[in-house]
Amino acid sequence: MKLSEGRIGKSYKILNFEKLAGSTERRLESLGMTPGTTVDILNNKSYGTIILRLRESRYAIGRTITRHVSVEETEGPSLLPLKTSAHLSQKLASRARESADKREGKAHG
Amino acid sequence: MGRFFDRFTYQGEPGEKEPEQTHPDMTVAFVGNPNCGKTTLFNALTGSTLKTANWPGVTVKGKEGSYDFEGNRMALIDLPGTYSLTSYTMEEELTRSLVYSGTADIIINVVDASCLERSLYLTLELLALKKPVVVALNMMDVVEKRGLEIDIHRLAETLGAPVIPISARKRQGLQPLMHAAYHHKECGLDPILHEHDFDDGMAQKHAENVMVYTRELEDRIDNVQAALEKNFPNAPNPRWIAIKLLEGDKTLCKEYPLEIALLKGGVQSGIEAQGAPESAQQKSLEQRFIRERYDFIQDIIHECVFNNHAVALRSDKADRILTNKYFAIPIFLAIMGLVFFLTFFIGDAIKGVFEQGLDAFDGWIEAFLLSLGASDWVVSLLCDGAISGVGTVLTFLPNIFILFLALAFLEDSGYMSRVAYIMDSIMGRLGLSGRAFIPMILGFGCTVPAVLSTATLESRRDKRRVMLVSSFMSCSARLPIYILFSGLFFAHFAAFVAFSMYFFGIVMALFTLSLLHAKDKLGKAKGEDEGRLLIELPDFKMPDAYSIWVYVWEKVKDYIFRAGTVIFVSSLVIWILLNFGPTGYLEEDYATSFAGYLGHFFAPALAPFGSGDWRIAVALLAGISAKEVVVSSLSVLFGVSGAAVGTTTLSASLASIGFGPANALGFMTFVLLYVPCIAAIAAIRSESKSLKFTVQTMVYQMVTAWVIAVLVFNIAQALGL
Repeated sequence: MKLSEGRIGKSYKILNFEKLAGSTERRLESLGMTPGTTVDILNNKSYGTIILRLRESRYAIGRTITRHVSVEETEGPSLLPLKTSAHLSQKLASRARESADKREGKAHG
Repeated sequence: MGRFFDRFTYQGEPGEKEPEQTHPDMTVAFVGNPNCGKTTLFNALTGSTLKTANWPGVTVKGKEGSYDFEGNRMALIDLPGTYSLTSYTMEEELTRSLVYSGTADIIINVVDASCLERSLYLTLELLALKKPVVVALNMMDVVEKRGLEIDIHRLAETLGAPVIPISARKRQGLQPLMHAAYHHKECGLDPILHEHDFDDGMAQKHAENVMVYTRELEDRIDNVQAALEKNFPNAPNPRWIAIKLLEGDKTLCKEYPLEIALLKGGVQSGIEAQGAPESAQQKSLEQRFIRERYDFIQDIIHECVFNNHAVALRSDKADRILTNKYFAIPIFLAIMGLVFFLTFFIGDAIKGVFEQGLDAFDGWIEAFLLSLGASDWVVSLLCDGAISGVGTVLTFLPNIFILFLALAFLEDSGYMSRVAYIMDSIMGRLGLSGRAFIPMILGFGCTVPAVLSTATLESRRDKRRVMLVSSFMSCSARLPIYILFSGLFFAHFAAFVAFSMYFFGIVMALFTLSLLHAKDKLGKAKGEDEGRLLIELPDFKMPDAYSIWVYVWEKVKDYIFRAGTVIFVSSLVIWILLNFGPTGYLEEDYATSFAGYLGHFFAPALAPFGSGDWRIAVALLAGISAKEVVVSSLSVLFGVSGAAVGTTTLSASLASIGFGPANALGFMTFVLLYVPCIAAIAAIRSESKSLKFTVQTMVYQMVTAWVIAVLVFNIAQALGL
């Protein structure tokens, strides 16, 4: 589904951008709206101009942009207490794996 | 970087032409996100008359000021608000080149402590440039109020840069900040003390860099960096360039062309499919960099920020009402109505006092001059020309003051950026971004800032359209004309008539825009250039009194200044044109003066909308120098000045030439729509960088004004007004 179809009070995970001007996409990304990020929709006028919360900041985004952003609904707001942040645990896991791989590599070498 | 950057570069080369005593001991640049309170901080430090605006991107050009730290002169540079240091917008490019070139000795990165997650992104980008950065952790008062707690000591260790808690609005922590900035120059970079319990074999990198990416990205950075150092041994900060090249930065890719094989190729990101086309791979690489930075920021926040729950609930609640589907527009109209109520009713009450004062002053000067035995024409020049012209304009100060006060309040409270959201539906139908509405609202204050603020719009098309119609949003200088004429001819409905001029202006602007939009639709596909709204909605806050004062004072000062210069000179010129003719000085016989001839020449063209009197023609001509002059020259032309009781005399004079309510409506409509003042025309010229466009705009405005005024006059007459 598209971000423009998002419902108020729900949270959505950004999947990708479709046919969006490069400069607009980069602006969104540098604000932290990269694929995989969760946003909360705070307001949505019927035609897709929305207010969303992204990384603790609020933005108004026009429908000419939201129509080109693919999302999927996800559970719960993005503002979880940070200790249970999915990002963090993922990262910890991946780094642990990396270092394990390295050690293994050394052992073989 | 062009012209924005030129003015800063001199500070980079010490020992140039700059005189010794004015050369600053050090240069400090202020960098931060829009709405982070950077300009408030800058105002507090420099006491300069800068404008703080509560929507992104209003400080398009850098501003300078100076600060004295224990006898050392620091040059302060306020850079435009920016979210990152890519090179996609003018603001980013300017900030980046200024930081990168070493023009600034110290960078003060102003960070909004109440939304660290987004703010630290720019901080990481600045730190990657390896220049001395001091982090000013602003909005600490807000943080405390919300119960957030920040381990500043740990934050400083993690970033490897001093972090000073401040509150720009409360003027707290400013001295320690400048102290830190001053000494940081000597100390150089602080050691970086991460919590590095990950055994990733990159200890060296962690010691040298604040931001270390995952192994996969680091390997690629190393490869590119090695190639870069081989091909461009003199490249400064090769690691940073390598990262930017991998991210596909256009400016740097041109500057440092490397084999494409090094840069391309996707990374695993878990979301994009493998074997995607090259452009998609490049994109995913850039996204990966951005995501890792944000992940790292989350790590930092995890370590340094506590009680990070209930964020800005009050603003969210307020937003639920203020941006509600059904209530938003009525509330917006009510707020604008209140603004105009204050401007008209309260402003007029104070204006009455001013008028009495002016009359007394004029009478006193006249008596004084006569007692000195001054000749008639000197008395007339001073009293009827200068004092009457300038004074009449000055009596509108209360109206102007209140209007700008209200606009500044709306701006600083955070409401203005909501307007962009609220109006996006209407503006979207006109093919513009909701943001384009803001310059148009500013047009109510003055066309000049309205035109200048179109620089914040992204597309050239949006800019030009807004410039074309911004003068239809009736500026405050035209207000006196409406007040005067509606007061004269629509006694009890005066306020309604004056308000409807504003409304009519809006209608004309929307009509023009929809015509242009319809033309677009008929022509080629609308495509990419369509208006795009992307604006941050900052938390609602009580506006900062000092910032409002700075803003309003700047406007009022400008108004007084214009009264003292442009309007003073035009008053004198008009007086001379009026009182001198081919035969020399005339006594009260304006009809045969120079102005009389000009007026007589143009009057027939104005007759179709009932303003065919030569005196009105002269006033309208004079109005091109500044709209305030219309009223002042009318009062001179119709001999209303000094001790004479103003409005009744003018009313009688106008009535004697058959000027009635219908004529007044036609006249006001013409004034509303015809070309703005010289200053606004100059602003359009400089902002559009096109003489052709400027001339087209003027022609369109003149033609529209004439046609509509004729229509209004005839309809009003038919209705029996």
